[in-house]
Amino acid sequence: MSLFIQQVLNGIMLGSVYSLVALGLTLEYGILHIPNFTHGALYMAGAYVTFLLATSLGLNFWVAMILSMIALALIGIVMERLVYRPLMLESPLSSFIAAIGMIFIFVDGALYIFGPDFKRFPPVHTQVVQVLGTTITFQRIIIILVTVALIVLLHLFIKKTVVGATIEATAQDMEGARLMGINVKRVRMMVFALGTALAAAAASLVAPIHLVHPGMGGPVILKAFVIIILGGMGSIPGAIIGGFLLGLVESLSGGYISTSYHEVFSFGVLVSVLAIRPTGLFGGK
Amino acid sequence: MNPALLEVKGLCKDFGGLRAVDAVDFQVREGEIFSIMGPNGSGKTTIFNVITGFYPATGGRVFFRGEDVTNLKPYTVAQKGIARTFQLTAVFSRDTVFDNLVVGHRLRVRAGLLGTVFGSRQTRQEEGKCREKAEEILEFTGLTRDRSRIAGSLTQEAQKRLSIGMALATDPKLLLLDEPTGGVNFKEISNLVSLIEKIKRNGVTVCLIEHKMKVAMELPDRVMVLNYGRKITEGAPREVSQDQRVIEAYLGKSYAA
Amino acid sequence: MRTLTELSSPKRLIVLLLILLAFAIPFFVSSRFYLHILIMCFIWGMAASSMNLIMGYTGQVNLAHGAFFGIGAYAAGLLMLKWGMNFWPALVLACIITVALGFFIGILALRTKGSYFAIGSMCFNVIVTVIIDSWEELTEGARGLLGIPRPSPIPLPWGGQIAFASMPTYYYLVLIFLLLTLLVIYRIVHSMMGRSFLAIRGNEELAESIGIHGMRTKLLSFLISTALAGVAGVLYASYIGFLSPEISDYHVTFEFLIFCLIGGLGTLGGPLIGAFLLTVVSELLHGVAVPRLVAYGFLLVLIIIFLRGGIMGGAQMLWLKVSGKGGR
Repeated sequence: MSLFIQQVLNGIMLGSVYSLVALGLTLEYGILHIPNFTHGALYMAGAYVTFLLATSLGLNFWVAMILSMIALALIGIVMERLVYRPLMLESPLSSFIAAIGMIFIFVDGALYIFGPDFKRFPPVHTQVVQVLGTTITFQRIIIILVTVALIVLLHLFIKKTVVGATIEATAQDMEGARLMGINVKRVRMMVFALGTALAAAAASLVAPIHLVHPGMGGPVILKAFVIIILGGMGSIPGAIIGGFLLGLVESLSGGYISTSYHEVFSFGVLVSVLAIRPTGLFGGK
Repeated sequence: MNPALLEVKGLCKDFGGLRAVDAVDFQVREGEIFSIMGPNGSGKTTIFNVITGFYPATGGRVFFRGEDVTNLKPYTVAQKGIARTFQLTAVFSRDTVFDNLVVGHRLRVRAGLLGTVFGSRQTRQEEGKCREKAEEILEFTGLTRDRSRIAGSLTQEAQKRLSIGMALATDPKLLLLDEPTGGVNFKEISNLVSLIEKIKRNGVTVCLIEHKMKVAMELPDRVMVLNYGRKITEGAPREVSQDQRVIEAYLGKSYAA
Repeated sequence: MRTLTELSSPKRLIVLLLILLAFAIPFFVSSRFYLHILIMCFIWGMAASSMNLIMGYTGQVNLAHGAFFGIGAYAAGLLMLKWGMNFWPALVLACIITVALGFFIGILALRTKGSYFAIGSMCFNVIVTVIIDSWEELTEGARGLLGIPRPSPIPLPWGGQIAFASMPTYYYLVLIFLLLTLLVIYRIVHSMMGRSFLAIRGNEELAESIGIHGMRTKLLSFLISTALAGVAGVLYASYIGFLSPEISDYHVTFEFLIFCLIGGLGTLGGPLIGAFLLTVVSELLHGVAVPRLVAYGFLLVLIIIFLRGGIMGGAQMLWLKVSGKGGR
């Protein structure tokens, strides 16, 4: 029983990370109308920035994370402006290819600068806590709490502020929004900033547990895609629910079935769903 | 009276809670030009989409030459002999006019892998048939001069002719034209109208959706009018244009009677 | 990207000259290093050209291609190593296996479209790599397959033999297969079948309305491209003699993608040019501390923004300008 609880808590923690990443991805999709494949590389970059700030500059973890979110937000804005904007009217293939190019730049750049070894993150919250009969590090609980906080903040931002409303409007109908006087260019940049910041947050939160290395974005981004396809590309609730669901499935199947095949399991689920409903579970577009 | 080529019985199409087509019955007789009219949103294009298999029908049946073709896939429907054009003119815009027409005849020939790779005589003959058909259609639609032009660079009217030509290249018995004169200016309309009349003279039955009153009244043999997904009347153009229900549907109650 | 311009005379001449040059090379290049680079160029060129069929000509963003290259390689490797098969029957059987797996994956994956297909196919690629890596009893997993043999020598009727252990002989083997691959693709693209592929690429809905069976056409294109990728994989396996699961990895798929893009998607020569250029550049820069993939990345982004048709596309535009036909 204790194993079960531990797996469930682990799953929720994993799910938190996945949700944040999927949220950023789905926000970007809502605006771009194509998936931002570079998202995983940006996730990885966020982790490295936090790592750098925390180790070389000795900054407090939370400060480092926030700075990293800001840095990644800026990178996201630049990326949108320089790469995705010129390709806006081209076929989705072009944006996809540009994304691949950027992935190479980030991932192999990180490989070159930092080397391929897994970097140890200075431990942040190592206290161990007893929850529901199992022990769990405080760090994992923090991940879950911070994620929930970010999700709530995001929700309030989108639903309760005017800026948030402009984002929703642009996501639904870019032309219409433009005609209403909404500065669509600024909205695009803002959404990208938000999306990449969320990825940076997710990566920073999980960095102390899973080590930092250049390839860390790969598996995460593929899973994020699984999530937004299942949950519906562009759907915020879909990303959140899907993220937690996948985290749980992975944790439980990894714990009870086998760890080496658990990726196959997640992808197998995706492929099966797509075979039955080619536009995802909540599919629209 | 000619036999019914196309018979639509009790056709229904729902989109979620919205009933776009409500128990519509009609027949298109062989050799005639039949027109479907109605205000925007009355379900005209939806009917076309259901007949040609782009949307599944929620209810009702479609019969073509006596055969039940309801809910068949678009490529099967084309195989059976129903061809269509789209309201938003659809051509292969990156290809030449000639290439557009050649591929239109693809469904009538066999193109096996072995024959293709080894360049068998049969494969070359089949391709020859498609090219001949394309030449024929170029002539028929008056596009011979434009044969090497990229389709996307043609005028709207020429693109309409091309899309009609592509549909004709499939050797259909029934041609469904969705607003063939849409976006075309006054002078060019008569070009398209004579083309459609030529099509009828060549033995292809035509069913068209048309908005422009002049065309809708003068071209077809019979007209059906829809409103909010339901058929409100059917008959010869003259009678229909004077039907109170039709006037009401288009112009509102204040203009009726 | 134009459609079906048949090879006009000057182009025919250039192609002929290039082929003759390719055949003549081993006579005045004896360096193993250079021959090695060329052999790799040919193999990658085959793989990229086959990807071009489903991606460039049929318009489906297939990201599972590396998996089929790997499946072909592993199938042949295993057949030759564990079942003692000869190269030639192993080649045929490996091709069949690749196509069979391609069929199952294609039937599922091609139900999706556009971005969904890209992601779905990428997932399949990952699944295949994970399976190859984990199913150690069959594939030796991360340890890899060692000692895959070259084709056994073919005795000639007048004495002597064709020995594939030598570089020049293998060079010709791969060259011939490359030319066959290009011939097959050329024939297909300039046929009614090819026109169906292009129609699906242009506008799938419109294509269906004129009687073209969407799923069947895409599947056919997919299967042909996997078959050709599998063959390239077999040639790779026998040449290098060693396989590890990375050979089916999605990084490999992306390299093929880059070759196609830089050279020009949807053109016959494009993928080959891309493969050549990048293979040569990366082999020559091997010792240099330049992060190769970072450079690839920048190249990719720049090309896709500024030179969308790749090198071939740029060349075509140049040709049009020079021959006075003007721009578009």
